[in-house]
Amino acid sequence: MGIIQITDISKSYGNDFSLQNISLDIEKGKIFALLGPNGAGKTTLVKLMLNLMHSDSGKIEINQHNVEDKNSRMGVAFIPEKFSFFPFYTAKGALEFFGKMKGIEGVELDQQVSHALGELNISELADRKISKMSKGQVQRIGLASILIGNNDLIILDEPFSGLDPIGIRDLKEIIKKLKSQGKTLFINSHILMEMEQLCDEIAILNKGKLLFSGKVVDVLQTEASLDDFFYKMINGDRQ
Amino acid sequence: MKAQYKALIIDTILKEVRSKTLIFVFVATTASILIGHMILSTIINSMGGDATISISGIDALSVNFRILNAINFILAAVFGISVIKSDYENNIIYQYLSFPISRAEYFFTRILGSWLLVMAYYAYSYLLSAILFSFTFKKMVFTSGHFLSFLVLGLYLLLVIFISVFFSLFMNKVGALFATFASCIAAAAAFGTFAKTPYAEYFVNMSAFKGVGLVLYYIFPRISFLDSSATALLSSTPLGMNLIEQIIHLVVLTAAYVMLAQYVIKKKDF
Repeated sequence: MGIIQITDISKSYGNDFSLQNISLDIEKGKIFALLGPNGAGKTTLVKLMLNLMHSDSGKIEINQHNVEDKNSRMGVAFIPEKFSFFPFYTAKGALEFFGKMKGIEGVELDQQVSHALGELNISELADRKISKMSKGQVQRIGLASILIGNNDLIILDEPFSGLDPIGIRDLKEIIKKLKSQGKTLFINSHILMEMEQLCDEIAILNKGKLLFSGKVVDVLQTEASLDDFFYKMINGDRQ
Repeated sequence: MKAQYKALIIDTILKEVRSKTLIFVFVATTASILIGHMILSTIINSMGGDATISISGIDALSVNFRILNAINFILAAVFGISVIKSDYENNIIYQYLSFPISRAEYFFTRILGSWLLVMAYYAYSYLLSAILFSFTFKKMVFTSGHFLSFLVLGLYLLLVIFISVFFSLFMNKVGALFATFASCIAAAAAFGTFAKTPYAEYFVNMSAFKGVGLVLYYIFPRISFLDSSATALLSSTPLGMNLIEQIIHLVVLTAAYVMLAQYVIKKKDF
């Protein structure tokens, strides 16, 4: 049974469908990418997974808990596309807050915060306020937060946007490391080259419809690149 | 207390304590209490040792507290409106709701954090006034009635914050502020009209306006009962109404509205 089970989910805004009868089963320990052009419904699906929105029909379960149950978010880390946090927090303070919200305290919290800052190479920012940081540095705080708590599912919404080349490389290393630890990663992205290198499985969404779901290795047996395949799928859907 | 609740309450206080409104009100209140104290001292000194001054000291403090109560009502409404709205505006609400807490837990810990901050300011202004007035009148003018009034009005402020947070979920800040003031004033007007009126006289000289007032009196939690009780405690005057009925109505309707709010929040898309 998958860590994320999406069954026949539909969501509409007025008369416009944002998602139509989407079903996905995402296995534990894999890196899964949800691909699609702008307005495809990717963010809506993530919001449904986190119970930030309610579907019109269908159901989503995470770790065998319906997403309406708060326990479904136990062990889940989420970073939105533009991570932001209150500017008066220091990097350390923000990460400590994230830890406390996941029920971690004391020495364990201190250790996890130090480890997360070190992994993202931002230990020197520990006592700096978020208001005094660059956008890239704030994004790194967000990425450090996924290392806080015993998360087994990490949801990243456009994680590469706003990062410099070194940040992108660091993130890719972290993603690989997390996978090697048995974590599941759900990545919402449109940077196909990065996804091709990282992901085990993909799904392609366009205008709220699921066009494809399968393994990257299977796609690359018939296509030169994920980029070509994506273009064909979206173009085919247009015609 | 669960670590998550504690973290969220502290987070709320850290966030709101930087509010320009709070800083402005804090400075303005402190200044006005100090100026009031100086004026009063000057007047008393110019009057010499008049025996009636010691009696009016308690009344003077009561008047001062009534002004503070009005300021705190506004502060509670302003805080309630911004406490969740600012999470929206800073695009942070998604982060909070993705933690393993229910929406109701998020909503009510935010309210509690705001309330604690308003109460801290309220306690400070009460205490400063009590100390200065006691110095002015050269005797302790802070009574048990003042203390009870402080506690009762504290509950009132909690409900005002709850109402304003609720409106802020569906309206912009100005709209939510207007809705909070309008509903509290309407509830106060309905309460003022019917709380001391015998049942037999409810339908005497019935008009559309009176009819609306009667409906409001029964469908809205009687938060004005708390406000009126606090004022009565300050002035040491009897309330002159059926206390049991008022308390039961307030508790039952507040519980019903809390459940309604919980349902609405649960169903809302963010």
